[in-house]
Amino acid sequence: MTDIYITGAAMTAFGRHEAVPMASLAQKAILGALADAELSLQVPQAFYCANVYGGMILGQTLLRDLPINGAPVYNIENACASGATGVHLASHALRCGAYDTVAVFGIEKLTQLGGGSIPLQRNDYKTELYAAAGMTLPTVYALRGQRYLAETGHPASVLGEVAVKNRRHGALNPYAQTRKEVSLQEVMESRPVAEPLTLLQCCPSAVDGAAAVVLSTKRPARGPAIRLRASVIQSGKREEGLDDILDAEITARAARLAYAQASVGPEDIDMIELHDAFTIAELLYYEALGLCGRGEGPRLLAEGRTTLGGRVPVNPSGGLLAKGHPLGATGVAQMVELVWQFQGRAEQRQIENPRVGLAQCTGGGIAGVDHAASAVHILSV
Amino acid sequence: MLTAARASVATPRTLPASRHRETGRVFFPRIPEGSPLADKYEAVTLSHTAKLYSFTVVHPGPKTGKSPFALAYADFPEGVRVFGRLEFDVRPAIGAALSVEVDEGVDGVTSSYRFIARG
Repeated sequence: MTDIYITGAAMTAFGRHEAVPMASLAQKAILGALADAELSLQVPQAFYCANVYGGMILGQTLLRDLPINGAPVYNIENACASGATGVHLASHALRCGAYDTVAVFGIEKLTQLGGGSIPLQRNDYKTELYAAAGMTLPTVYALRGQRYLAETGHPASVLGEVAVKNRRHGALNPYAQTRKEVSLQEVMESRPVAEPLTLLQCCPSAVDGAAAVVLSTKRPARGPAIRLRASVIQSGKREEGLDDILDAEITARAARLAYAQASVGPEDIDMIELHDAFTIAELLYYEALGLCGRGEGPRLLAEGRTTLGGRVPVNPSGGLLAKGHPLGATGVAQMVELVWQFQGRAEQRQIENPRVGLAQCTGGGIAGVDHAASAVHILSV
Repeated sequence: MLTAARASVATPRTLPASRHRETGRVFFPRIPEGSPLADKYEAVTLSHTAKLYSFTVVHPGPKTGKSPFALAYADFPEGVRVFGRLEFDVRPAIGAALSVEVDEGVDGVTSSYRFIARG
């Protein structure tokens, strides 16, 4: 199979950028990634724009003032997995030889939505009914959290420990929206949102940002060659009967395929950026990614194995909880973090000599499936 | 806590659902009549009772002025899980028995219903 390399990576800081036009955010990330790859704007043969709420032909709109000379622009929406889906589709084009170098960027301005929970998909009779009853993404995760605590017997504080860890990591990341360490007490005593989740256990809902990567089949002349070893997207299966909501089936399935594609196992992974939109998600994804068995996530956390300095740091960037979650940008930003870690550019949050990294994110927003989409990518040097 | 659990309605209504003719699997809400898949399903109704699979109490932001309310997944004997509002006087345990209240005008698309946990 044709090797694909990530030859450039950049992102804007995530945060509230109400006064900054969306085009400026996107262009900053794209130009940064191309500068990182030491390429001009004329080199990428295609651009992939990942976004959720920006509207039609967003990519062309954001790129209009750049001299890209009519290169094709593809617009991609796959909820929170949009950015990762962009990388996945770009990898298809590269592998089949349609292009040899492309740019993928993700962008979102959630401050334009006015904060609060993001809307669910409304073109579906089941989602419409459940949303009217009160279903939101926080409540979906809260129901998982409540069931998790009931089944495992763990105290609610195990959820809070995820927020403590990721916000500690985020405090070391100048690109994170929230750069403040918090204590377990602060997490647990923050405003309840949907029990057992408190405010500090939820990713910020008003955040803007952009991230970009350059993908190429040409091995970079300098620096470590960062290979895209696996790129997997899976869709959720219709829930039938009395499904186990603690089984992140779609992500476990995507991870199995990705490990097979990369010929590695969970024991080979040195760092992970995963979709911790809510604290319970991280514990469930430990299991889905094969890091531990059922209900064992809190032990990994307590032993520091997923903390910076541990065996496999999870969300060294601070994750969605601290860095923020501008939907379309998130999947790309996860890969930017892995690239910077490989290149030794992660400053205070630097992991020692990582060789293999995994990025995972999921896209939700409809009722009746575990998630709409799950993406797992594995990168290595 | 929340709204008080209500007395039983005189004539309990049931939730409309669909059963797949081949697999026997039951799905909620009912498959829309206009669906090209509709002929693969037969109309059924769910039991009046269910079991609490999970629940959460939602605390709307202070600026909304809204009161907390509860949401639940209820497991029905027909082998289907339904999401909806939950009412209780005493906070229920996972696995608690629930009764189901369905409002007038239920058509499987616009239904209004709630689960009641009785202490």
